[in-house]
Amino acid sequence: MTPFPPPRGPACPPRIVLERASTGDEAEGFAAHLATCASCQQQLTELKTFTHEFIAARPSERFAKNVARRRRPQQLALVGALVAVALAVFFLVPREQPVHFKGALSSITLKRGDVLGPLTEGTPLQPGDGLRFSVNAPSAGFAVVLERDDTGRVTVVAPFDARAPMAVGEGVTVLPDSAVLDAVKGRERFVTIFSPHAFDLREVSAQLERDEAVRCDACRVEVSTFDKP
Amino acid sequence: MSADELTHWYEQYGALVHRRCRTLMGNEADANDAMQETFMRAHKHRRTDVQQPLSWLYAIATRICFDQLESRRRSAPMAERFLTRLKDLWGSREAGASSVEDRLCMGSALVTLDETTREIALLHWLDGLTQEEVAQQTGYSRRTIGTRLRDAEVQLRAVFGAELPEVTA
Repeated sequence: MTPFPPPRGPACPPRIVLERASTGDEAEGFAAHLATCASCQQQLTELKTFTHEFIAARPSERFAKNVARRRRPQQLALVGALVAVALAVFFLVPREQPVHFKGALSSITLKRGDVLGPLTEGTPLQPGDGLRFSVNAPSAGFAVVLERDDTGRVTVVAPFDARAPMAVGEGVTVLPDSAVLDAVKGRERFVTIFSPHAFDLREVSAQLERDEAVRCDACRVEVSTFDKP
Repeated sequence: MSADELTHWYEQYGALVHRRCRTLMGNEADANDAMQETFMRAHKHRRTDVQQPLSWLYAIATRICFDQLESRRRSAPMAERFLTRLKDLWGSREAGASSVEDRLCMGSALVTLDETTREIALLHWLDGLTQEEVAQQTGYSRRTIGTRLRDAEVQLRAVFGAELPEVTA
């Protein structure tokens, strides 16, 4: 099946609408058109067949095993990660600029079940916990929160999957998006970065992936580490 | 999102997400990795306000694929990059694939372009939106869309030449 969509009829919806419909999701206004369009009916059938054959060839049990394998914390890796965390905390301290630990630059709100409250240092986290990040900026500037997991993978958590740090004003700004923790045990390390100037998020992410000190123009960096036993 | 929900999402969206990754990465192994990473990120950062899960998963998958491709591009020396490109292009032919679609590694052709041009190209070529619809969705003028698509097509044709089907409507 070619990834390029076939030519569209004048009244036909874009390919993405057909793809949504093939997954069972609602595709607004599409049902009426589908009833009268043989081309869309054929494409929809092909997409459903494609999904059916894909899942038959790659059953969800195998997918679940592969995902679990990627996540499985190995003892050696865990020890290495603990050492790495200790080293990272050391190296993340910029020589010329002090690190402001949690409470100064950022704060985290914890949502556990229906209960909301501030997340304090040392609180053990649980799978399913939702975390929302706020930045207390000393001036207008740019902020972002990154997470580095035990395998070294860095994720931009607030704003989620952002390509650039978010512009913030002076004072407290609640950053968009929240992180919901998965069932993997280990450490969750959040790194809040603020600068009065725009900075290259890819560069600081790469530094973090390499376990190097975060360096960017006039940046303040704050690290919060929590256990998820 | 529980593990059961993750599995359910895989059964519902996995085939299409994998196909998107395959088109961008150009080989099965990388596509599998990118697809698994996509679902793991979605699992971890599930938002309650996702109206169109497939489009959301596509956005995550696209970012993962281009991050991977950019990372390789930055780190690989020129000669190695050239060999990687050749492998991307011809490796799957050795495995039995025959059509340009099977061998397509769209990501390696588009990775040198800016993010906006990539987004426009994918909306038009893969999501099937017309230039007018892309303009409405992105907020750029129709003229800008046309210019960006031509830029992207030049990149794609530089890689796939005459074998590339007519892609710009």
